[in-house]
Amino acid sequence: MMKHADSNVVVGAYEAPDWLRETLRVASMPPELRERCEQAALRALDVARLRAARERTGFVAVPLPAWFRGLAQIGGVELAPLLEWFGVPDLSRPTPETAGPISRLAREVAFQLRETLALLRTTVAHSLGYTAIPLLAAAHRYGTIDAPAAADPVAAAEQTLAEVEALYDDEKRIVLRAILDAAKREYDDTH
Amino acid sequence: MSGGREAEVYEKLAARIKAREESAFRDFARLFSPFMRTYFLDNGIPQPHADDLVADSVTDILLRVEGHYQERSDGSFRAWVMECVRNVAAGWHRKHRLKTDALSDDPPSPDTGGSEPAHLAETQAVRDALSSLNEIDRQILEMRELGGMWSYAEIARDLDISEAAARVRHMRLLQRLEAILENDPRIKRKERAAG
Repeated sequence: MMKHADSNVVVGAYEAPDWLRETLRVASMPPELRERCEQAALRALDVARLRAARERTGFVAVPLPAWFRGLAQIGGVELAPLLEWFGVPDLSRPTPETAGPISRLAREVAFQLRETLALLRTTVAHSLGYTAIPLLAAAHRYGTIDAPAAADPVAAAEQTLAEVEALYDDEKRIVLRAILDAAKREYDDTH
Repeated sequence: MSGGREAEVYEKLAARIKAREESAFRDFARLFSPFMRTYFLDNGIPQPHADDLVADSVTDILLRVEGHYQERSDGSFRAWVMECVRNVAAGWHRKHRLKTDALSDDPPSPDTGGSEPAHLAETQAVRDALSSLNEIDRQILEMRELGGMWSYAEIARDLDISEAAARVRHMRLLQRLEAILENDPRIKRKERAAG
């Protein structure tokens, strides 16, 4: 046993009871978890700001990176930490594996399922080199000499995408189907 | 803080979250995450799953405030958060029962109903006790009891004190906390330990 000069405690004689250690451990937050929870809260704030930005916009069929960069600019949000938090490695090339996290983020930002599906299809088309989707969708939206206007911007995008996807080979169609199924599951699992 | 005053603080927090005040989001994490962790651990969710659930729940519940919570003056925001936490725990157990349906032992069912105030009270009791510690003692507690079990030599080096001082301060702060919490009626764990 050892006495310390600035204490009347005999060090080594005291053993903290188990209930105390357990109480402290359970009820106290390790610093790294405290920091992680603070970051979790700030990511929720980022999403709330993106939602507010989304309310100020209409729908346009541009690829997901452009959408989220635009919303982030309007909402004053730094996008990279948010994408990392949601497990989205690359918005520009959706895959069946990333479609779920992308769709979860889109759902949280208040995109409807139909909008998210249209944006995923647009992004896939863009990644395959079909970069004129926004222009063609605008033509469908407002009508041309040859065709009446679509009912709404999402319908206009869907008409354009149907024309583009008719040019896909079977492999691309299978992958696209898997991407869209993953997105739908994310909306189906909404609590 | 009186019950009514406390209810007002929580309801104001809900309104501040809806107004997207950054400090409100931080306050939510600070106020509720210790309780969530206590609840998940005490309801059979092991670490590190419990810690992952805490972080996810902070984000998920905050995102639900805007569309799913209506302000009331009866302190219901805290109850609403507790309900969300209970649902998260139940969902975790449901998911893990489905994955481990071959096992014969039933996992513990999540606690329901009236135990959430006890968890919140216990967490608050510890927070109150920890507020009596000075900064150095709080760091020693974190390093020795809550973090990676630092040695006294490592603690001494990091805090620029002697190893003997680190050892003595550690023992003294535990004694102080035991004296405070032993007589706190919000701490039920010691009664369970006494059997």
